[in-house]
Amino acid sequence: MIRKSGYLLLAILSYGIFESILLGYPYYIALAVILFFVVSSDIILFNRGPALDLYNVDTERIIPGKSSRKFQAVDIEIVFRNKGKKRVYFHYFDTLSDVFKSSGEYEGFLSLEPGDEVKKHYSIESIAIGKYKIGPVKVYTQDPMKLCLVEYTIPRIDEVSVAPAIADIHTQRSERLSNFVFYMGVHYSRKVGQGYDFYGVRQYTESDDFRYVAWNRYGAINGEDLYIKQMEEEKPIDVIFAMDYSWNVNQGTAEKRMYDRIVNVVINASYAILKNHDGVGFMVDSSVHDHFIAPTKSEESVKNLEKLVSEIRPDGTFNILPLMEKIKKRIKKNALIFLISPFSYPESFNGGNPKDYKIGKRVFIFLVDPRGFTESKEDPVYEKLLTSASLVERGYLNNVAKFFQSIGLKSSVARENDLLMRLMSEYRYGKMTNEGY
Amino acid sequence: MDQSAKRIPVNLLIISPAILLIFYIVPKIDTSLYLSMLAVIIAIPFIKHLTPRKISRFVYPVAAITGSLVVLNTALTATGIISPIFLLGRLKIPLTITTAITFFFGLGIIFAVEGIFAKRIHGSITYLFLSLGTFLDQLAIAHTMASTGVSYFAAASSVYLREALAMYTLILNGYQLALPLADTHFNIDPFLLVTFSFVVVGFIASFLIEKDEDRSTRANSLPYPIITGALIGVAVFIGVDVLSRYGLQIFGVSVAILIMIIAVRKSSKSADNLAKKKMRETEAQLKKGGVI
Repeated sequence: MIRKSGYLLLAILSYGIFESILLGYPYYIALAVILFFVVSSDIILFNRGPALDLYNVDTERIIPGKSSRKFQAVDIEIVFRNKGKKRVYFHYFDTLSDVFKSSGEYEGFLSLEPGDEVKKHYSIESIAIGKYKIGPVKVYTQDPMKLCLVEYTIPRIDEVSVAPAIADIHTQRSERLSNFVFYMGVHYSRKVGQGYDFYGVRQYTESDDFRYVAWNRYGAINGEDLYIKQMEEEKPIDVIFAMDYSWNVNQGTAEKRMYDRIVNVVINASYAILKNHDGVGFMVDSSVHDHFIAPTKSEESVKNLEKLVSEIRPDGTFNILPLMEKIKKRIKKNALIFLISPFSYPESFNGGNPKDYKIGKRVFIFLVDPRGFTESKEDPVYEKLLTSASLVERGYLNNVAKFFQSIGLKSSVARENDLLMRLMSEYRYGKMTNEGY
Repeated sequence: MDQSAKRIPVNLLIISPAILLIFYIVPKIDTSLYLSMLAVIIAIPFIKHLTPRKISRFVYPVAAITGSLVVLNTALTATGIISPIFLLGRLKIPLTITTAITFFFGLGIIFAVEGIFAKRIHGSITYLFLSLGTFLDQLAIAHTMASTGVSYFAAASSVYLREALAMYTLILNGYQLALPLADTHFNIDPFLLVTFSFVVVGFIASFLIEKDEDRSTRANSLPYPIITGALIGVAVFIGVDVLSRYGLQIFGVSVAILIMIIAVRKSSKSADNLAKKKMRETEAQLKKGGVI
């Protein structure tokens, strides 16, 4: 393909020829004619030679491990071969998603003799979770005068799954963060009443079962007083994290993406809950994704979530009502439902009939404020506009939260920094008020 | 050294014929020029390139507006439409043929200076042709003045008339009757030939001054189009020379250019078609793989 500069140069040189002929100065005519034909020959020779030879380039990409974690380097080897019978020279670059920080020879220039094979090495490091494509490989070449360009996209595609980083899941390791932070030293997993474990004693009332009278405390204060033993029973509860995984959460900057942050927070909360001997399960939902990981009291469900989010990326739309319906159908036991979404698009929240939201489960809705996922700049005008837009968004989220509260669903607006604390706070509240039905 | 500074030596080579002609012609026609006015005109491109970028883009418009206002003021004052009050009375230039000659000569020098500072090869080549057009005209005028002893105005009229006649006969009859520089020989001819070879050297060097990864590869491939182009160019030039005896040189060159442009277009089209075919195949494979 001739570049605009090529056409421009040909036009200028044609003008030069005609000007020189009108003046009739022979040396000038010779100069203009020679320059014109040199440029024309360059274009023709390129189009008949290197431009066609470029398609003889073949590539192969070798990735030893196609699963990795965030911030973990993945080494890639890319092999270029010249299948043709002529020397071929070209620039190349491997197309990479903007989530990858790359280093090494992912782009460059190569000159290959017939049958030559060259290996190039580079490494990538993902800054977000999900499954990402690597490739295609693009090669292009240009003529000696840079007036033409030919580009060839070699359809060589690979995929890399990226799971959350170990560094992000700090609650998995008890030495890093004590559960004391979240539970304030109180273990709320038991229900006072009938059970097998001794809880304490209190004064006897007429309605108490006589079998539990603490005879060894009889008359301890005034000689006639009677006490009864209180027993307690284990009262575990499952926590289901229902996550919006639609385009709603696919927002943020190159360094900080909302879905990535939500998944990290959920995984951290899950490990903390597991340490409290409760079960965790997950629902990852959108019009494209419908994944349910049944609650377990082991790390298995969290590992399954890590695996799941490394294989998918936010896609489709989100609507809360179909999700509520799914929760109603799938969650049969007593459970706390933590629904997390930024409700960024109108279709995510259509109001609807309050009865549609009654699913017989304790649902806590966390509306994620996108303010923390915007790019900050030193430009004061930009910052003012951003603050103004954020206030409007915040007002919208507060109104959505008010609606949910009006129909009996506990809801709050959370920012990226306080989402974990809010989740754990509601978990603690949910445990304290757990009736165990 | 930044890229634009690197270009200046190359551009100097490309513009060298115009520079040589300036130094050759000015002493011959200096009596027909207002040298102070010429100095002011020449200063404009230098002011443009020495001022910061924010201001530099206003230099030519401001110069054009100022010049127009001065001419207008002179005309209105001379016709008595406005009274010559203190400052306006002083801001005037002589509205003579010499002013016009100075202006057009200055314009040629502006083209040459802009060519030296041009950032791209098309820019410097365009300015070369524009300035060469002006200065070769002046060369013909100076030659006519010297050979016939007429005034600058009479010589200029003769040269421009011959050019106009050449255009007229070309359009009306299909061939040229009179060419101002066709059969004239100048003392400067050997030096101009050398500077024209500098143009070719500068033209080729301009493609290699950028420090790219592929510079050496491109440099190795460059001789092929140069040799091919030069051979074709020399053949065409000889053909034009033969056809000039019959006044058909424009026709001959037009045919040669047309054939070359058709060849360029055809080769480009076949390369484009292959690229499109490969692109379709790639898209089909990417669609199959669920990438797009």
